[in-house]
Amino acid sequence: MERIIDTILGYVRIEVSGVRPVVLLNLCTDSGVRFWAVEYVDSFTLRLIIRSRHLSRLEDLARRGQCTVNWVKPCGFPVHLKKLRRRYVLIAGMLACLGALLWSSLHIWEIEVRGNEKVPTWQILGALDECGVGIGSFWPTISTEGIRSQVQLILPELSWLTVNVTGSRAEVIVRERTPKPEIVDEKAAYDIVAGKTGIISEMRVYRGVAAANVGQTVLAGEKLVSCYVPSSFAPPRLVHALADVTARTWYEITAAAPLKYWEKVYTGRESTKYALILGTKRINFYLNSGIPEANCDKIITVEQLKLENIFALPVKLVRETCLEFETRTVSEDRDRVRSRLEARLMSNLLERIGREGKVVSSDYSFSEKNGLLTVTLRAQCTEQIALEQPIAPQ
Amino acid sequence: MKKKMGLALEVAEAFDIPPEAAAGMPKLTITGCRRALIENHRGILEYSRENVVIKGGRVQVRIWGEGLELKAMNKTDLVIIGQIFSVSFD
Repeated sequence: MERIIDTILGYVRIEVSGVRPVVLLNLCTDSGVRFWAVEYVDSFTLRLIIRSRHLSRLEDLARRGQCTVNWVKPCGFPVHLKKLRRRYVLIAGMLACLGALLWSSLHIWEIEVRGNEKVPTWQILGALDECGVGIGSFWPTISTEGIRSQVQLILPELSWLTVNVTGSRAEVIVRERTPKPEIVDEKAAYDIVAGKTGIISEMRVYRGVAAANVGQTVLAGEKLVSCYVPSSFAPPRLVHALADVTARTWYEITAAAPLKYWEKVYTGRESTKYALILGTKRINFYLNSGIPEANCDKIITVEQLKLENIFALPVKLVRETCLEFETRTVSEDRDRVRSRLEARLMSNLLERIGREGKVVSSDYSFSEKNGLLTVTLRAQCTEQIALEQPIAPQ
Repeated sequence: MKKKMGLALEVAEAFDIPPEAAAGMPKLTITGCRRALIENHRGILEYSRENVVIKGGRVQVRIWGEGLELKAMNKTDLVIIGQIFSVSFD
């Protein structure tokens, strides 16, 4: 650390000679003149380094110690500064750079959104842009409180938001609103109807009056439990019907897939185009449009000049690499297509019957026509079919 | 004076006080054979690449070596670097 300070403040290398130059060293220590890197030249000559400001005092001490200072070589930052004194253009350039750096540090050149799971980042960035927080915004005028309330008006899905600005980088932390759970109105009149067509295998009525029996075939939408509860002494009561109704159901699901498909084969030819984004302006280093002529995959990489998580400059280098490809027809193995379709059909069936449903039996059938393999799944299941339905107001 | 210094040294030893503090004796710390730190010195008497003599109150510390260099020095401490062969006290 001391060496850095010495370099900044400036130091001098000197050569002293005398009958006993060691005396000068003792005089220096007594007078508080700091020196270092003492180099022995011969019995009468020494070379040492001192701070620039101690030079005149050392010359006095040298006279007292009967020594002479042979030469002085100034070093350090002040010497370089002196060399630059007449280089006006360079100084102007340096000042312009400093000004540009200061100006850019007062603007936002990178926005990072964190904490969002359901609301997409582009939507949040769009809302922020509407509120005046975008690439190139002057951050000292940004008020987090104001931004928060404005963004919440645009995106009610967000419950909280804050904007932290570090250098020219804005970190937006959001918290999403937890959706309000559906509240079941226990006093409202609801019937239980069949959600699917099937044969009732089990029925447990907790509230309401059963309108169907075990073993009965019901169609989707048919009433299973009524909310009208008759009474011998009073008019019928309306309740929120509650029941578990398990039924045997049947499914027939079909899926098809081609046995031939197109595959990409890269030819090995590739072209790279460059562009520069300064703030919000894009400068293309190519003449034609960015739309590729041949079949090609475009890979875009954007690199920004920045110090990670600290500071970002409004300069982005865009590299667009086009990888040319050709397509060719590839035949797929029939058994592989079949097993893939079977797995998809089964997964679709399980999704339909829900977690409580069970597949009792299943059967697959296949057919092939015009290069298309069709698989049909026929399955028998047991599942919950009870569905609450509010009664129509009379 | 010599008697006083001797007495101070004896008292320091008797009371387990560091002699460099009580009797103004130099303290020499050698790290490996490349660096020597001398605290409580009174100045340099001789200086060359092979031989450095440091005044330390009642004793003189003589360092023999090769390519010796006075790295830094202030009123109380000094650092010598270089290949140190031996140290003697006069």
